[in-house]
Amino acid sequence: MKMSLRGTVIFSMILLTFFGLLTILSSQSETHAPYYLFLRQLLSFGAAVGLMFLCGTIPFAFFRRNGLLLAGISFLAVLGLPFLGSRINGMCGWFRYGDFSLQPTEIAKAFFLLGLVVILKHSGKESYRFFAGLGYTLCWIGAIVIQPDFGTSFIYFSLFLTLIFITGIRWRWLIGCALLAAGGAAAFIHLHPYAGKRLTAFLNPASSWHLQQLELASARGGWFGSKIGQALWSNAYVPLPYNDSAYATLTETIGFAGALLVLVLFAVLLGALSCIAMQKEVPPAARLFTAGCAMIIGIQTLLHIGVNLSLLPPTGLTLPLISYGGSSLVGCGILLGIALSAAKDKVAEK
Amino acid sequence: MNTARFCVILFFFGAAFICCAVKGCRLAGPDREKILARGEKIARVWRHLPARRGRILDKNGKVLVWSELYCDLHYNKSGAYELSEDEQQTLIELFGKIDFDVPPSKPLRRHLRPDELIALEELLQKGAPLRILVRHERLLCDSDAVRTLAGKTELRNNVQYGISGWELQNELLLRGVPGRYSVLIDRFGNYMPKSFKLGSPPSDGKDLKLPETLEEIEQKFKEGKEL
Repeated sequence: MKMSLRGTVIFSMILLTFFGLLTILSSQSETHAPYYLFLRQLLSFGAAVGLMFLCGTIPFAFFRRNGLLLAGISFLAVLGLPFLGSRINGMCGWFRYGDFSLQPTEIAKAFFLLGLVVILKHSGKESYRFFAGLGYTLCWIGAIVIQPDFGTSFIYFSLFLTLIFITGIRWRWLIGCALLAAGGAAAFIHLHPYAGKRLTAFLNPASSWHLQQLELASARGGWFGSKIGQALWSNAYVPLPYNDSAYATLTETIGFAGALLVLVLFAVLLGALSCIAMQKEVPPAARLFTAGCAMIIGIQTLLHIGVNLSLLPPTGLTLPLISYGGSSLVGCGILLGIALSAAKDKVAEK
Repeated sequence: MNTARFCVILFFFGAAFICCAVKGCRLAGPDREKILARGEKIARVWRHLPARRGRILDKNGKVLVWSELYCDLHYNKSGAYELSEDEQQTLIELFGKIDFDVPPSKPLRRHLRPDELIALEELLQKGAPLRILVRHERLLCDSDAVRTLAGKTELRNNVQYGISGWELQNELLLRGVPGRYSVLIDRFGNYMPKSFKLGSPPSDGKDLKLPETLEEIEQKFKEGKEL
């Protein structure tokens, strides 16, 4: 049973990535170089699977011991972005070297979670753990907001909120955090009017060009989709069809039936991670990390799919394992690899 | 870890997944036609298919004025992509010196030959921002009298209209009825592949047969008599 949960995680990760490759291929079918992004993603897939298995073989105790160190190194990389990073689509979130680019916030997700788990599982007082965790999270968010990347900041803070919720923290602190998040979001919208425009466009969908195109791409897919390579609407109208709009492209390509299969695969992946997190014989830190891993993938997946189905305002978040982006895929590989290591920790203990 | 609280979050995740599935189902089923109709409004454009203008013949059936179909190569500069250096080089190899800075209304190259059309096919299939447009061009036989008396035509919306001479006097007979076709265009004005729909085929114009022979026309023209 234990091994089968690990197997389920690996199986669903690989299958979802194949759907991602299919999405990228369809989204580029009418462009100058239809295989360029596909081949790059294929390389990233190789790296992600390799790193997943590598991290899976390292004992979880190693990650726990060095969690804060790994988080610190990643944090320095994120902090260096405004000085050394490149600006793409108005966001200074990448290090570029020639044709190669790296988005540290995507790769750092695993290490941010690791650091947070180490802090929340520290043997000190509850209040100490809570405030240390809050301070740690706010430092990360501060470094990400100045890029500015509201979507990723939201993911990081949501992860913090869900983790302190499941560690059984007091309700009043939880409510205080939620209010802090609301205040932060309001301040962000005030400073960056585009975020406010997205919100008002969502409330009046008829005026939102972006949301209309996403709906149209999904509707064109129908029940069973157009042929592969015929995602016409995604190629012609949908913004970033291989990335921020990957789910709409996927739906146009393989229809509702295929998109539902992808939803089920995500549910299976989250289910397997949650089952690992709920097994009592697993060490508490490993359980919390695996739960956090399920949360981070679950929140980002639901936000992306919600936006692509016009259920939420546009956020600019990618779909884990599906959207184009080597950093995102490699980040997911590391995250799942450490989760696999956490699941194996239990086997070692027995 | 508080398992009960963790289960609450998982319950919300499950509910959100179900909401997404329901919305996806609505987009694929009940709401699909309505949304697709909205898409057609955004992207489908109707264009004229030129009808071939009728010929002008003399009493013996000799062709004095006729139309021929030509293909021109246009550069769609409003697109997302510009011609890459490789594509420009291919065009230079094909046509020799070529001016890429022509205004959008003018073609890059007129009167494409069949071999040039075949050579261009590869570039077009790769999505180069080029477009081949067909048009009819009015040609006249080698006669000063015909050149003066036949009059001129003007191209509007890819339809030839007579504006003087015999062309204007016999406009309704010669013009024919242009056909219509529609295509979906992307946000840059490029035609989306596999979206062509024929609305109605063009109906060619009828030939005009003059009551005199070419020799008689030339004779009267020299003498300044009215025809």
